[in-house]
Amino acid sequence: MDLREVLLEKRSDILSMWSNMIMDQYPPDAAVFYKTEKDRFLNPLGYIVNEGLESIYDWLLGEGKNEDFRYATDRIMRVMAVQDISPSKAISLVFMLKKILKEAVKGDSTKGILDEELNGLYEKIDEIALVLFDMYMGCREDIHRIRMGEMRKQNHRMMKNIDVLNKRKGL
Amino acid sequence: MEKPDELKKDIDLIPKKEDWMDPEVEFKKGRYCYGAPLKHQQYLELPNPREWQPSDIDWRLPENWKEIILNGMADLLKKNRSFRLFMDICVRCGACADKCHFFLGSGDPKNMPVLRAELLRSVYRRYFTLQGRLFGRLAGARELTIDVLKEWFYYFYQCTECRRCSVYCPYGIDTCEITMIGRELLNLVGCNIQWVVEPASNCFRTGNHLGVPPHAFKETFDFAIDEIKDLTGIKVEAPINRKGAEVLFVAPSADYFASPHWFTFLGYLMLFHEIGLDYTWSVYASEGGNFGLFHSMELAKRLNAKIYAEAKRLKVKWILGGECGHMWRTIHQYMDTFNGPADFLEVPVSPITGTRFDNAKSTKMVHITEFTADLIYNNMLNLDKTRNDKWRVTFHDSCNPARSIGLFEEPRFIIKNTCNHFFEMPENTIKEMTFCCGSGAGLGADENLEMRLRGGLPRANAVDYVRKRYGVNMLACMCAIDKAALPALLEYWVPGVEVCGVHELVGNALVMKGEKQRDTNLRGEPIMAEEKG
Repeated sequence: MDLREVLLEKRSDILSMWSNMIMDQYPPDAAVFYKTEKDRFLNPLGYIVNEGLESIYDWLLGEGKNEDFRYATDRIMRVMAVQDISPSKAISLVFMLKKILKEAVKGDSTKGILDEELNGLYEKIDEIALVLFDMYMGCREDIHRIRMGEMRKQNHRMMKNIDVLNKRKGL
Repeated sequence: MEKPDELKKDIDLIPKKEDWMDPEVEFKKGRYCYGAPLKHQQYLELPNPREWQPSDIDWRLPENWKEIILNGMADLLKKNRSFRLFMDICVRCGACADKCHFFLGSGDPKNMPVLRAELLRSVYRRYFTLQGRLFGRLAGARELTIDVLKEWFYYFYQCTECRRCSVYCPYGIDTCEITMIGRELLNLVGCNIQWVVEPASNCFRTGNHLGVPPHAFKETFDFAIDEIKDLTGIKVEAPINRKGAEVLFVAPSADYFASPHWFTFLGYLMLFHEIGLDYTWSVYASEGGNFGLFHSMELAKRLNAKIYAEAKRLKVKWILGGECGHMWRTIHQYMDTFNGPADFLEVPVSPITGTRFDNAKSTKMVHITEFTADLIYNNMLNLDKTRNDKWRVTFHDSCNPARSIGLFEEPRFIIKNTCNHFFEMPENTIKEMTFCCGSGAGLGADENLEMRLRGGLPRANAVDYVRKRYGVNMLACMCAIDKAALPALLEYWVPGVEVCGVHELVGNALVMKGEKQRDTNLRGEPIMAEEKG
């Protein structure tokens, strides 16, 4: 059994462990809700995080499409960028996976796995961290850009009317 | 230089263990609204006027602030039976806990409606119940301290009074009213926000929240008339302050000054011209919204009175109201006890179809979607749906028209008759279960954007679903705050989806008698979607 096969076999266990670790970063009352409510519209955060984790995991194993990976990870970062979550905490979600993977490949059935294979995966995880960091910062920039745009839009009509008035007066 | 291990100390992945009874709030930029400017506090003669910001360490409260709050609480308990009932009756079943959009988007347990209410209830217990006085903390009672007051401010200005939580309360507790009471108490010691006090003060001074003076009000109508002439070749009338008109039309002021509200405004004017409605606008009542409602009942009452005073002065028969949100809660739930009954007016009857609006027989005020839906139902309008073909539309039930007056079907009926492509968002996110835009009740300030984006997540998440599934590119709604807040929200969460009013869609589809060939929609964009490839 190679590493990829092992990780595909243990996919659902690893994902649920990973998801729980992230939810536990929220206050306990919120974490319970985020973990248990399964309706994607009543628990958008839980859904977005789980969807994102799945897509990161599948992408790591060469299963997912690039666009799905970008869409889902961007959504997680988008949520975290407006919450009381620092960039370091937001990015840490991907490093949690390293810990979980280490545990997951300890078992008997996986003795054949080479350290090189695992290290290769860890390198990919580090790359994902960089992507997530860029996304997080991109979201912060979006917030500032949108705020400025909103202030401009509020006056948009007034400015347009002033323009028309000036034109009428030949200014 | 610090070593990596030392730096790592600041990265804390595990949340602190906190007891909700210990108040602790931090006012970080982007997550709270600015305090009200002095001149507007003074204009409204509010207590303890001063230049003040929530992030100040010293809030410069009056010396006897605690006494003022507790006396105010005693007064309100006497005055509003509902307040005492809501304080006593909650069994903390938790049905409301996960219904608040701010809780869903932030994960902050104090945004659970039950816990937000407990912030006030714990003080009520301490000073107004025997158990609280005897057993203190054991009975869930807290001393009123400055930190508790700051916490009230922080969380009562993180509630948009959308009333989604109250839909689920088995006891019918209106958590929104608890927030209203909390804000009213804060106002007694001069703690209020710019985005509420300034519009309310403007409304007293000029008749509308934006502070548009009469001549600019008139001028903006002239611009709209010119724009409609360019679009359709027809010069519409927009009568202002015309005595003896049958109907007084009142809309939120953003409709005639902000974007994308403006296109809804054009839609109203075109519709009224086309059906030949005998109506008038008013400068004095040039505001449908009522920011007093987010401040105190007294201020809400004073602002609401203007509409009725103007209806009396202009001798109209009844009032038609535009696409506004909280105006309808004020009218439907409070008007009758504020300033009613409006028995000098007549029960509204549509002069075009003869339909009698018995549902409005007490307030004498009809919602424009009821009026337009009735016109369409009676085949009074010539509508060309294909003019809205570039839009794949979904509908956001604005909280107040949905939950306060139960207006679900009329806007949908209009949209289905003006658009070929309409798609509903998932059932548990619409109608009475609709998710708030996250910016109502005075929280729509740009400085509060981060908090608004958190609160808007559940709504945006449902929009994203219909965007991916059906290619939706337009979110219709009928509330001025929605139209102001949702574009920013969608730009962040769901880029590519725009926002419009229901009557913008009507204006686009309306085939007017004698109109020229229409190539553009009200936004001046080509009517048909650009051909791909």
